[in-house]
Amino acid sequence: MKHIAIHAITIYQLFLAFPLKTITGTQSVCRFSPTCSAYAKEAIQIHGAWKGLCLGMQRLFSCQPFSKNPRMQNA
Amino acid sequence: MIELFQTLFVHPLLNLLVAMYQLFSFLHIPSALGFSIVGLTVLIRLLLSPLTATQLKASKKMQDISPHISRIRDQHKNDAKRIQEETMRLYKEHGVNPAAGCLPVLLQLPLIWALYSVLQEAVRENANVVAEVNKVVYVDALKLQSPWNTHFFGIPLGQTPSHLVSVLPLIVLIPLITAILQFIQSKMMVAAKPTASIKQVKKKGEEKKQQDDFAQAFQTQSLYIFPIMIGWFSYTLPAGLSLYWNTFTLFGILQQYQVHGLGGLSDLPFLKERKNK
Repeated sequence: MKHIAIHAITIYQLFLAFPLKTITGTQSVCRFSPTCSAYAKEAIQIHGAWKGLCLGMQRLFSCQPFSKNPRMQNA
Repeated sequence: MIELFQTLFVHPLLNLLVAMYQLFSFLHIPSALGFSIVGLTVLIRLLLSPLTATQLKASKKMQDISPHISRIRDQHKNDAKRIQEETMRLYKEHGVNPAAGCLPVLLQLPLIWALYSVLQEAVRENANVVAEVNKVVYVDALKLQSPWNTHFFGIPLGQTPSHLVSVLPLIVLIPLITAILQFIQSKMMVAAKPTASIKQVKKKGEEKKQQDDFAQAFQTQSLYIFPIMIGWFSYTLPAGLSLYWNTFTLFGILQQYQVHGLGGLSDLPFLKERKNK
């Protein structure tokens, strides 16, 4: 499960991230470091697939105007 | 879920398309369907443009300060809190507003997808198109009397270039143009070649994992792979969808040019010469 999740994210990073960023015009505008996908990968490594994915989603959803706590640190 | 998507996004867009089509037909504009596709795409792009413009501007500023951010990260490697503070200070100094975030941008994806599915239905050459469209339109005035003419400057919008290529070899220009436009847009968005300051930072971080290098290399290749992919789609999908996508990209290029100028495109050899003159 852990490996599937990590590979899925890698596939996203390699094949989907670029088209997505080009289409929506968000090339290199990420406010977080590391990026959400890299962060989720790391979180999955450390906490396992389920909790890691939750952490990743939590961070993705904090990337909006109403978020108070931008998480910039590593997992 | 699909039902909801249909009612919220697809049906309103279809109604807009039909309304434009009826207007253009009323004005006796030839190839009304083709122009409606262009019109609807431009309309959607205009609606989204404040969002895209903010994003493009933020993106530009981010590119400008990225060397400084790498420097901060290098300096305070083990102090996440310090990195955050310094980064925020940098944002403030340069007037970058990180508050917008990426989620609002992702909201435009359903719209782009809905437009795609509307047009895919609209240009399909089936006998039931009148009945199907009339089932969805909101008011009687919009109802179609006869199937629409799917030709646009002699090209049947419902057919794919891969089908047409045997009778009309020049049709390969469509996927070619689509790929080129996509390349121009992607290239413009990528930052222009690193300046000296970034190179220095890079040297410092040379111990980075090889995996990163591969991902980085692949990202650079995406610049070429993505347009080719889009070109291939354009070859195998109905020409009407290429018309949509090219209008969409062209609008994006213009908007990008307004905010950034040529951006990464100025790295191309023939443009570079002009820049140096």
